[in-house]
Amino acid sequence: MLVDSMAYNLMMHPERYDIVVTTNLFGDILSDMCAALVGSLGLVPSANIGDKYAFFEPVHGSAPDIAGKGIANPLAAILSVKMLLEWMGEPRSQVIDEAITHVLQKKIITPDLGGTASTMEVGNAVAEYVRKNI
Amino acid sequence: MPSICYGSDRFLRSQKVTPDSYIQTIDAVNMKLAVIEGDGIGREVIPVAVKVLDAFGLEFEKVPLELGYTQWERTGTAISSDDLETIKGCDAVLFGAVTTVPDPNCKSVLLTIRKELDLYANVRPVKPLPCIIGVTGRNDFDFIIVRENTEGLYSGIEEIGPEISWTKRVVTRKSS
Repeated sequence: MLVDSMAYNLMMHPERYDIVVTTNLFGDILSDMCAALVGSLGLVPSANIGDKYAFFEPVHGSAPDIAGKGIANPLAAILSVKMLLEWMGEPRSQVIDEAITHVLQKKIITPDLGGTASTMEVGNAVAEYVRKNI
Repeated sequence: MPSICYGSDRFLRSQKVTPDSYIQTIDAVNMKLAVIEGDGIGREVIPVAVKVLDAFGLEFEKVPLELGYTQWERTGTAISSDDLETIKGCDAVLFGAVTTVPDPNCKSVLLTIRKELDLYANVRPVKPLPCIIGVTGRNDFDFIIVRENTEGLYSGIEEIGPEISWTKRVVTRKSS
C-alpha cells in the first residue's frame, strides 16, 4: 500500500485494519493522525520494543502550559502501564480497560474531556477499580 | 482485538496443573523497571500510573531516574552516561515526558534511549475509548500501528549545504 492512499483509507475505513506495519517517517505521521480517530494525542499510549528492552510512554508531551495544576489527563500514562503489563505477559492487564470504561462512564474525567476531576482523582479511581476487580 | 504479541517471555513461568496442561504466571520479582517522570505533566501522570501498576500487587524493583530539562538546568546534561548504564541494568522503562532542551548540542533524551537500547519497533494501539468520540465519529476500529523506530529518513546521516542538503534514508534487513 502506498502511504498517500493508506492515509486516506485509515480515515475512511479504519475498521479494515488489524495491523499496519510501516517505516519510521510514514509511521510517525500516520500514528499521530490516527490519534485523531481516538479523540486526541493526549489519550494514546505507545511502546518501544527491542530484543532486550522495552520502553513505555504516553504519546503526549510535557505540556508546560498546564504543568503543576494537577489537571493533566493520566489515561495515556495508565494505558502505557497496560502495555507494559501486556509485554510482561500479565493476563489481568485487561482490567485496566474495564477500569477506564468505569471512570469514563462515571464521568470521573479531567477538564480536557469536559470534567472537573484532578489527575490524582482519576488515578485513584482507576487504581481502586483494579484492586477490587483483579 | 488484533492478535499481536509484542511481549517478552522472560517473565512467564509455566506451572503444570494436570498431566497435560499448564498455567502461565508471571514472575515479576525478576523484573526491574526504570521509572522516569521527566518534566512538566510527566511528573503528575507517571506517579498516578505507578499507583495503578501497584494495584496489581506485583512485586518488582522500581528504579527512579531524573532526566530531562530540569536535570539539564541543574547539571548541564539531560541524560548522562551513568543514567544510560542504570537504564541498561533494567528490563523496561516507564517514561512520562521531557521538555526539549534549548541547546542544539545537547543530545535528545528520547533519541539517545531509543538508539542505545535498540528499540527498533514503535507500537501504537489505535482503539476507541468508551464515551469519547474522535474526529470521524466512529468507534468500530481496533488496530495497531507498528512503526520502525531507528532508521529510515531519521537516520541522522545528513548534510546541510548552501545549494543542496541531503539525508540518507537507511533501510536494513534486520530492522525493516
